Amino acid sequence: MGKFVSREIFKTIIYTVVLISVLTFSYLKTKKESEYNPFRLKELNNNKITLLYFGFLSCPDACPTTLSKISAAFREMSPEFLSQVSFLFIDLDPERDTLLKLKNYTAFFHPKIIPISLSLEELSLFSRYFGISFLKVPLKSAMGYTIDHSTQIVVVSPDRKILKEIEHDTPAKNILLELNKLIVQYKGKLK
Amino acid sequence: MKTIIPILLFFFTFSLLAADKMEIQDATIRSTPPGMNMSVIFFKVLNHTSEPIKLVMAEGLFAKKFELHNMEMLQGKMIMRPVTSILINSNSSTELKSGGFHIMVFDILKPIKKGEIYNIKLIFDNEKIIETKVLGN
Repeated sequence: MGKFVSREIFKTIIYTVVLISVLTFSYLKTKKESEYNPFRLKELNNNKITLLYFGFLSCPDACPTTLSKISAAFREMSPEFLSQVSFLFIDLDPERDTLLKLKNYTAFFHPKIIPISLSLEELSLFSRYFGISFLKVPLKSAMGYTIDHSTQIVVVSPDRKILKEIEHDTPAKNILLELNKLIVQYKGKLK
Repeated sequence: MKTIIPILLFFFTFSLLAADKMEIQDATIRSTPPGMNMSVIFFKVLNHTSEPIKLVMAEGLFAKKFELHNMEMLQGKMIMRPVTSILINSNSSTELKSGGFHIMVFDILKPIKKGEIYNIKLIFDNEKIIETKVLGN
């Protein structure tokens, strides 16, 4: 009987410890996420209409397609309007991509595209804040692995609001119209 | 009636000629930024035969490795996976295009440039091999 009771007590203790650990972990994680401020990133804190795109260098299709379209839109913008827009390419593969490689890559499309390389931990919080999900997936391929990722362009206002999402395959002329409209709307708040 | 027979004969002959024919249209390869050693090839394959055919492999001298891949949107995410073959139904066509099937090219020996021509071999499951030119874009 005594043996049975002590076993029950032991089980209860284990359950309690596990429960407390899970709750503490969730609390700390939620606290960390709610305290996270992506605007500490100076490239994002710039009083401009900021476009964010999340991609990686080995991305064969969606990323170069997006960067080509955005570059085409930028080439059609007036210099005055162009100076009020910022485009950040957030790298989703910090294990494989270096900042130098990223700079060569983005400069090939347009000098206005700024590559951002974050640590994996910060990248996870940063992407979640903007509603972007990504997942490293091993492949039977020369690539070794790929990154499945959301492909929308996130538009952020100078007053730090997420304004909208632009689908990555939106034609350049539509992106241009959208950006020009936003610049007019936020005139006075832009620098 | 006399005029119809040669016309019918013409079409019959034409269809016979086309019977074992595969055709590749608008083959392009994406130009590469400095330091990138991979690219992607798109084209349209037309299968004028009465049999379904599968594209199973690609080769070329300008890169070390070629793979067939597919891309699709799934739950808001762009997913890319290797595939073992790409089907072209009988008397039909399949387009390798942005956001879908494509050929991934790895370890390119020099940067792919816009306007330059590259040669590839496409290997099908009926042992047919098509050599085609691909335009850098």
